[in-house]
Amino acid sequence: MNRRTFLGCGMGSVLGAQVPPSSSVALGVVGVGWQGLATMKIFQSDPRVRIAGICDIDANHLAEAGAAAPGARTHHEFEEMMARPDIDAVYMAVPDHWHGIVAGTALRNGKDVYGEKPLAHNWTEGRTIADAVDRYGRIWQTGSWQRSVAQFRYACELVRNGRIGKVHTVEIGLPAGLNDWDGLGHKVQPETPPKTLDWKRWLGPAPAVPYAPARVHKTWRWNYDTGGGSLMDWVGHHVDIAHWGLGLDATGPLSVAAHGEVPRHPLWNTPAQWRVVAKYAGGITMNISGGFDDIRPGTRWIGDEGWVWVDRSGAEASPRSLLTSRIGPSEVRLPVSASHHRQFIDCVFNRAETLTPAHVALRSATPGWLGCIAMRTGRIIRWDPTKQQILNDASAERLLSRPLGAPWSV
Amino acid sequence: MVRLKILPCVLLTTMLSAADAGTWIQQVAGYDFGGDPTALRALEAETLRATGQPAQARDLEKRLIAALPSARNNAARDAFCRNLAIVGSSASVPALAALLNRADTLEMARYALERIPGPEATGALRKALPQTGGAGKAGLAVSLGRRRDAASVPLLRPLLASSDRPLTEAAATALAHIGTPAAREALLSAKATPVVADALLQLAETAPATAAGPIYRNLLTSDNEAVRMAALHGIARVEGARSTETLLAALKTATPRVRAIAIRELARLDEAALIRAASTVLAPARVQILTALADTGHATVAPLLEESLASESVPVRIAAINGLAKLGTRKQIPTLAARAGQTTGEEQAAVRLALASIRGADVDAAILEAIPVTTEAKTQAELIRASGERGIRGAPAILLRTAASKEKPVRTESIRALRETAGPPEVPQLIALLSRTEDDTERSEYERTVAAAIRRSKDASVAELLKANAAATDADLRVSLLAIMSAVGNNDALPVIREALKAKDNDQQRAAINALAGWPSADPAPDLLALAQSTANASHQALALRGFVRLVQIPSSRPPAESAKMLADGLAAARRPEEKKIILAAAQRIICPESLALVKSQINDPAVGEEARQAATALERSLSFRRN
Repeated sequence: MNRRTFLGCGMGSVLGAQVPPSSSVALGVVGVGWQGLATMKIFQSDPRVRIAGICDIDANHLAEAGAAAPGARTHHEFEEMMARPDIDAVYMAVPDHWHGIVAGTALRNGKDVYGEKPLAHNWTEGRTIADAVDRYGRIWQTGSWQRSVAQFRYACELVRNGRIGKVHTVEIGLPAGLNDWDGLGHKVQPETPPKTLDWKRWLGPAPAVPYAPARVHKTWRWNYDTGGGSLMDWVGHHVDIAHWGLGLDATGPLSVAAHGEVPRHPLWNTPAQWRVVAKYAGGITMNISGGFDDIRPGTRWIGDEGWVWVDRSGAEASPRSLLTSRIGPSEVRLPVSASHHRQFIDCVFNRAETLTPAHVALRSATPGWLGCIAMRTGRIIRWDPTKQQILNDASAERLLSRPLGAPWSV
Repeated sequence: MVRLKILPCVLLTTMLSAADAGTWIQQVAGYDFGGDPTALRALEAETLRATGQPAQARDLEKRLIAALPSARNNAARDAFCRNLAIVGSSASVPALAALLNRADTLEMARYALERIPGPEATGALRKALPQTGGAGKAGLAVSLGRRRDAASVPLLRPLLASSDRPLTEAAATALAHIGTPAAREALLSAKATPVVADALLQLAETAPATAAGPIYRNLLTSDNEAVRMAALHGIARVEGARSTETLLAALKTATPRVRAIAIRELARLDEAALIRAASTVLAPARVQILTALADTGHATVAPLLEESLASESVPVRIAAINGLAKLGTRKQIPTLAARAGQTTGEEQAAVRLALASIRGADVDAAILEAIPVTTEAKTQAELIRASGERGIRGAPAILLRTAASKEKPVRTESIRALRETAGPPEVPQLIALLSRTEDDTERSEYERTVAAAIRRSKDASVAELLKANAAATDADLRVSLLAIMSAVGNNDALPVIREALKAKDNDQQRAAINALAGWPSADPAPDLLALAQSTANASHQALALRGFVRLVQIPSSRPPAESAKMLADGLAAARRPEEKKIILAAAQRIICPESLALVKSQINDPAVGEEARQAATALERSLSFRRN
């Protein structure tokens, strides 16, 4: 592995402990549960960032985050926080079904946004976010932070510079779905919501259903009303990297076929295991599998002169000598970022485009959304990546969006 | 942790007959939240598949419509409506429209109607709008907007003046989606709230420039900053070069966020004006100007970037350096190299990146020419570093000389740069340099460099290593050579390493064990297991066993059951609880019944029982998914 010791080239710690107001970012955080609280703490480590507002509709989450950021004002409703003129940017870590609405509100209020992946619950809301980012000239960073990790960038550069010849196949291994992290998966019967949770607001634009613990924290991912299963949870990581390595940030698949296995559970209707086969122009086949052994976790590009595999634990290649290959300055070089979160703050200041802007996130997530539709309909979904439309399948096209619960709109 | 029972899987590929569909429908009619989802899932699967077969879809739709009245509660009604949303047509409209009249079924009916194509569904939603109050009214407005129903404009227009904020937002959003001239006129006449402004901005994006321009110009006077930002962006988009005066005015007088929009647009439309403006603004704006100009890729920007290197503001200097990374030439190399040697932290990191990134073969040549003649050690070290980062082909010849410098930073950077550039031809000289070093840190750097140089060939030949090992008399060198053999991972070196396991020298033995433990494949696993089973040296036993467990986990085509057997052998050789825990953790990742048996066998061991139970629970869950 080559030595890549470059740091993010932003303003960072040069400003030291004393950060003048014109060089600091007042960050509002909406959604401080599992992911949100952990990432808020990452932002707190940047001396340029001041956590100015925290919002959550779970009072326990709000209290815990408030204790971690004592100077921040807390909010129950995100609209109130977004309307604050003193907040410059927002970190959004709400469940998928809220992404479109919360992001739209932030953008309309002139905030830059770091939004968790996937970009949105469905393609239409993702497109709406990307359009709003452009409309308001805002900075958007998606939480696809692997692009800021050296081995992922290097692996993509090897592929982009033809070190494995013409790529014909990509294999992407994702985790199985229906993980029951907190052991609440059996609690499926309707209950009175706890007083600490504003259940009606938690549901928001999702269809009205009674509260049950198995629907909510973390496991909201496993119901299509609020998430998209493990496929959508991870598409913004390894599929994003697959696209980056192939230079596909501005395009998408031509067709997607998929099959999923959904164990019988009263509330969880996304698959535990699945396979998605996406075909791209140039004869490239992308095999995405979740919960199977035959495809290794991570991303592997296979070309006619070798292969490269990468995930968070490292990179491998065949021939092995590829890993000593240098990518010269006159070759395709991908942007360097030592920290995804710091890069976002850098871009808030210098207004350059981030590594994972909204329009790229839209493309990364599209194979996932189409895969979900293919799984559910049992049909091959044909896609026009230029017009971004499903071809000749009006019924499938209905599934590219969803009605929103009143009074919400995007 | 409570164990979740996963019931036998219902595959979505199950094909159902019409008789089955009738059964499922009947069962769904009695469904309630939290109940057995079998019928619900089966019906939904059938509905989704039917969408690809028109005749089947129509038949199913009829059955769903007929079944709606039989729904025993709202959970069942909701289920039927969800299916009609997928497969419904105009035939479904009357039944769904009836549900719009009830507060408790309005939403589920609206969800379905919003998705069903055709004027009948639109008509039902439109009819319900004036008859509905509260949040439901807002929902209907949104649905009509999504259906782009021009006929709804007269009904939506008055809602813009409502005191119900969600309702005005819904109406504004709907009018934006409808996008007709009447919709536009309605929005233009409304009070200019941010939501109305956003709706107008959306309309302007699809309107012809002649219509969009006035909308943007009007919104530019908004007292809402975000609206002004979007308006300025829009003006630049539709008016192009004609907007320059407006943009320059914004550069001078607008708030920082609006000014940032002006900067980005001016970089695109009037670069020269922006270059001139750079010296008149404060540091934060100058950072944005430099960044925007650098993104143009135009060489004309380079002089401003060079000039900005002298700024007192660190962020400005960093922005300039980042710009030169994209637009620089060999001319800037001496300045940047010196700057890299003089700075620290983020600025130094930026300069180093720039040195590594500036394009051009002449830049490579400039760096190689400068290295031997640069006398300032820190600057020379930075040039050497850059040669490695750039992977300059001709660098090794120079670097092999600078590796012998009396300046430690120069030596260190030379060894590291050789790691990126040297190949098999340089291996003998590298080994010779390694043999002469007395610094442990440098020795470690050389080990990595020699390994990298060898790996740079497809066969990764270790001939030179074996030759050097045979001739070596220095113990430290032998240890280093073993480490390099491991990093290269060529099995031709295994016999030598196996011999070293028997060496009298303890350091040699440890080095040999570490070499096998770090091997890139599981080929030496039997050697490590044998050592773990037989050695009396506790430290060597621990190293060998941990190394063995590591090798077992290296991805390979070995069946999981075989890997589990290997771990069982390792478990038998384990002498301490820590070793058993490592093996249990490894077994948890090899999902097969044999791993489960292995971990269960340790549940009664008080020292590792808890770890064994946790591993067993995790494996059981993973295996249950496999079975399903």
